[in-house]
Amino acid sequence: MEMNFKIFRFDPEVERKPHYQTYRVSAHPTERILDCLNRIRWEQDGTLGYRMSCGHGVCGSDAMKINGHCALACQKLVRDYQGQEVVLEPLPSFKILKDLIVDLEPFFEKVRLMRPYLISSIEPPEKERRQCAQQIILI
Amino acid sequence: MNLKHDVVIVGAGLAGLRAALEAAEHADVALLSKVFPTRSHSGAAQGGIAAALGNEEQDSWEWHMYDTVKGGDFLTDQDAAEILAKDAPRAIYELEHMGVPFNRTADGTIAQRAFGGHTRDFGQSSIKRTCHATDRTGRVILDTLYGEALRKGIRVYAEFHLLDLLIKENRVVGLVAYELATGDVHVFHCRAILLATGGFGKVFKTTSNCFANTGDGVYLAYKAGIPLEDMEFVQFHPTGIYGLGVLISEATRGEGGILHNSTGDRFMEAYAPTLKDLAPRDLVSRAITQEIRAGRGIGGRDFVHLDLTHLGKERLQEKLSDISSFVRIYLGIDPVKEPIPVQPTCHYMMGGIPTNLDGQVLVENQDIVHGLYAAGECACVSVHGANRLGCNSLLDLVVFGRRTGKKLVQNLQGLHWIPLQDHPEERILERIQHLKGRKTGEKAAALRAVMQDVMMKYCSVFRQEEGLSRAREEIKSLTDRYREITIDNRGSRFNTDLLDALELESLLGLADVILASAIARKESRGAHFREDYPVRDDKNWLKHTLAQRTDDGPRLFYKPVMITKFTPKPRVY
Repeated sequence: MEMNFKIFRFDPEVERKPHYQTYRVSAHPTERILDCLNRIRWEQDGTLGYRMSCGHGVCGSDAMKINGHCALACQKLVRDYQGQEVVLEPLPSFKILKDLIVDLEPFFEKVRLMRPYLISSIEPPEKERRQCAQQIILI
Repeated sequence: MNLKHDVVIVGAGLAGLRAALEAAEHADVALLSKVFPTRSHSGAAQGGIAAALGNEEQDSWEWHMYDTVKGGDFLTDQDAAEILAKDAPRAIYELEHMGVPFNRTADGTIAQRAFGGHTRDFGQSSIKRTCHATDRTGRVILDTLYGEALRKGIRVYAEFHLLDLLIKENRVVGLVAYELATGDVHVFHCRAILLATGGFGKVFKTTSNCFANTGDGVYLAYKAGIPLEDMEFVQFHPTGIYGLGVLISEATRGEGGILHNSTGDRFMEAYAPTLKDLAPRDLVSRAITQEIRAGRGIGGRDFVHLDLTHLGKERLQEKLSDISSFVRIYLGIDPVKEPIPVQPTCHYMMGGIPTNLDGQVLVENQDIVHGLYAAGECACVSVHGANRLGCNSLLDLVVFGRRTGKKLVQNLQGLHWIPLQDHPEERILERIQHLKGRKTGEKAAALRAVMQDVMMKYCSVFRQEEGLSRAREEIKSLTDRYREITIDNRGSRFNTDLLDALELESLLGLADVILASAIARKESRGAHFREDYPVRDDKNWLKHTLAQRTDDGPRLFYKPVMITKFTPKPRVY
């Protein structure tokens, strides 16, 4: 099927204002929105900027706004948007670096501030610490 | 810009992070990663990590070692397998102490489940040896080790791509990297480099690997003259989501899932009477492909069914929640009610950069490159031989990552700063300018797609001389065409178009090494199955392949397998 994409474009180094660019892609209903983005970049316009890696919702690289909702482009399928134009925009509230790529440094800074590691004053036992099912659920 | 660190670790997956934690207390360590560390592909590992803890049933490291050796079809170096199996319990307790939330047994110890090729009493029956955190074991270990790296304040250069290794007279001088955000090319001056750059499944069309798995570190080592080991051994995981290649963990079968063909037969009973669906991956992938070839794919098509419906909703939710979600999203199927269409998907590279037991990179005759180390999937210790067992990979990463980090620290005092040459980045800058300067030509993506098709067709689960040779000619012609490619994007910031083009050189180079090694090995062993030589031939081929770059293509030579405890015998399950 033919899909229409309207994609947020902005290169703050050379442009003063963002604009939207439209692309037409032919895709199978079971393909991911990420597959369409790749087809655009690989076949039509290599200047389009977005992040991606694992392609199946584990790494989180391709988080973006899809028709107004924050989602991963690799977890949304073409058939979810049948008959609609798909609008792709960068995640809200982050500084835009290029097109769909945002500055995640403030996010990772908050991760750092959280001190995301086990802080324990007790020496660990020789083997594993014992935990019951109820304690696991609390984690 | 020139940057200076004692140690630069390339790759921030489990191997790189674990080594970094070891080295950071004793040296100035920098971690370089193509993606943000927590987005590394280790995070996609689902099923678990093996260790003979004996929490569920009696177990021993000797059984684990034997399974690893037999799983690798006796190409496994047995001294490495012994270290892996012996050190496994310590590695698990260490992870638990760092806070990895493993599933638990009723009495609060770490829960364990069955996995392919892991057995009790030297092959008698399947054993519960796999520690796991639901089906996101890699994810939680990656997050935990990253947390530890933050605790130690390790310097991370995220979204930096390795472009060149600077090695002079067999000594590490530094490396050249590309900063994606700015397009700047940086020279890192260092005393030691650890390559932990992962696999290169993107050589194939259907793969569970992420887009970043393009084997840059392995290719650059090859380009620097280091011979690559056992590159013909490519693991195809039996259960990728049909059409997409996304992994459906072997844990599904560990929890009791069953493979069915179109007639409803549990066909693995015929191929592996003892372990059935829990036979090692190479065997199960071949069985699925044979069923499909015999016309017993579902509806006569190229997939079989993985049936989990009898496991029940609660067990799927508790033990296999992520993969249940993948199946719902990508196939629109509820695994509680319907079987899952699956086909083999390229998953893991047994081969790579040869190292000794301490991660030091080897050239010929066991000589080392001073200051160069490798660990994880990019390395070949060789602890996985001709076929890796499930759950031995995460284990390999934390066991050999740690060992390599320790060795690196030990050696650091004797590793001196070698002065940088003037403008060592010049070669890379020229290459980038050249790519950006060409106005017309084919695009990298088009050539990559042809390469992935060719490798899938001729060099996957079954191989034979004619197909492999044809594939090699095709890869040669693609390599010629590659010299004339063009890119759309001539900008400097987040230019992934340029990186696609640079990565393709690695992929094509590695594809050629895989093919050359596969053509030469005239026997079938582990994941390398030659239809024209269907039998394992220990007399002529119980040896590791080494492929060294020359101007006329890879020069192949061989080295013996380290056999300590287990004499090779026929491999039946």
